Amino acid sequence: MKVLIVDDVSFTRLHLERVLQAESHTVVSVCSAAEALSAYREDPTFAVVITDLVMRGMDGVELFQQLQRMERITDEGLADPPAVVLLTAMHPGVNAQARDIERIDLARQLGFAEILYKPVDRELLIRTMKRLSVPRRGKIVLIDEPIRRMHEAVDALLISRDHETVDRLRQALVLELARLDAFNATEPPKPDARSAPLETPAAK
Amino acid sequence: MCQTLAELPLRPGGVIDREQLLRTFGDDPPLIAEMITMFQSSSVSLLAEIEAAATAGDAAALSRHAHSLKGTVSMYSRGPARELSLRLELMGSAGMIESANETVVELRDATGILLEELHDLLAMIEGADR
Repeated sequence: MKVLIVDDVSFTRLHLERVLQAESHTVVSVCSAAEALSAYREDPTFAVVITDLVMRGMDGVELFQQLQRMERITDEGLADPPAVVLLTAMHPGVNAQARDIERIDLARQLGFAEILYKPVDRELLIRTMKRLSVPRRGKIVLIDEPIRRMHEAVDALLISRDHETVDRLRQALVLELARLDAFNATEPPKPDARSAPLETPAAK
Repeated sequence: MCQTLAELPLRPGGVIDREQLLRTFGDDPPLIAEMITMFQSSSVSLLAEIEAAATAGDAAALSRHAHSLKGTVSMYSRGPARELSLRLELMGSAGMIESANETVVELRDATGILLEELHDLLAMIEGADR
């Protein structure tokens, strides 16, 4: 797998590089979140990003958020976002402070693939990479798209005040819920729940 | 033939944590040798940055550099160098760095002891490899 390592401590970068290279991963390492975004912009085929939490400038959680917003066009089309692994030396209940605990909690909510505590256990890192090398089930739903369609529908409703538009909004909500259910399910989404663009009065 | 880390004799009562080394690097003496060499240089620069931050009264920089040193020291040892860098990190993040200079001196000594033991371990690994 192609892995991007982000840590401002060269020692940690070298350690991770060596462990991952020994497992035949292709590794690029950078020392800041800004450099990581730049590297990813140039090459959006990284399957995994491993980032430290505490770094000068942008931290690991902000980097995750920026990566989700980035356009990921590859030669094969639109790429899935990378799995992001958070590294932290902050152990909740041991040495972490309130802000660090908040950031780690936020990382969990945002959907980091894994949170690893420093010093990183070699075997745990290897197991994590093996788990992440298995293709993820389902297709990533671009959250922006349903939200944009909801906005369009609500705008149209406000303008038209007609029952037909209300029905279309309801239909759009049902379809988007079906898409999200399909995303969470083990079964692939049903074809009829994947498309059906909403027609607004303005689009007619 | 290269000895395994599990076979190498460490200093009795020393600060190196063999189990931690094995968990972090695996039983891979060439990798451990490379990481010790890297630590020998990076710890010197991190200590210098910690000292400079403490002298300048820069609490944020002190916390950040102490955090980095703590992370690297933790790969080898759970001894005083780790505890002292954690103490400096917490001092820095709390903005209470009045007594930081004294702790920096203690940290320098503790890191020196760890470096001595790592130097011996490196010599053993390199000797076993010849």
